[in-house]
Amino acid sequence: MSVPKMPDPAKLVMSVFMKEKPLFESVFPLLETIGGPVDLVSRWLDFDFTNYYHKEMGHPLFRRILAFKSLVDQADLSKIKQATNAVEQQFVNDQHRRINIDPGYLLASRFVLATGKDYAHRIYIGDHMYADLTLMYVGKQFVSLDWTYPDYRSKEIIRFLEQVRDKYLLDLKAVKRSLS
Amino acid sequence: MGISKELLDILVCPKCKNQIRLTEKQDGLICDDCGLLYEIKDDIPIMLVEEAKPIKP
Repeated sequence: MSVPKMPDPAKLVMSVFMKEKPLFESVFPLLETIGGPVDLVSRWLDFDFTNYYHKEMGHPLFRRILAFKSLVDQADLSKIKQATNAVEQQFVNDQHRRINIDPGYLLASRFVLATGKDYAHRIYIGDHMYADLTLMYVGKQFVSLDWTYPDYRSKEIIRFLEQVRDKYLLDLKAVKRSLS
Repeated sequence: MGISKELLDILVCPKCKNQIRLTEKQDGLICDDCGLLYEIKDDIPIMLVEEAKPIKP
């Protein structure tokens, strides 16, 4: 029988995209109330891998990816997704979202996104949310899976997440040191 | 190994979200707009505003 043990805390990551870039300045402090201080921020990236959101949010769309300093409990992902959904709601205009926030977490071995949409490869994590194993860390790099969204297959996002992973390993070491 | 250009191109200052640049010694990242230096330790940039050091104008 395996002996259950505490899972490692995870690095919280959020992707935020919108049409109106100035909205980011209003959204950013709200995201910091959820995840605490941010320690890695990407430049604006084009969100042009799909037109799925064009009808609701307009286009072109622009994205930033954020990683937060404090590590989180993996079990909190559904609650975090609920909180980011509430932030999205604050910016709804005429029943259309103006921002889209996708939270996830990163561990040494994987990157997981939270989603409200069920699908064959997704695991229910409570609170009407599912976990999507988006990338696996294999052979010193993140690799995509059959279902990985095209944007998360892109070299620039993978490179950014590999940098987040480097920082995560440093953070994790500090957390473990403080507990020993 | 240092910070790759690819990574430098994608990171921005966490305070003002503007572009940053590598120091001449490649031991830190500078945001000219905020006047802050983010140190690089073990090839990892420490992009925390509260840990950044002010740079002289």
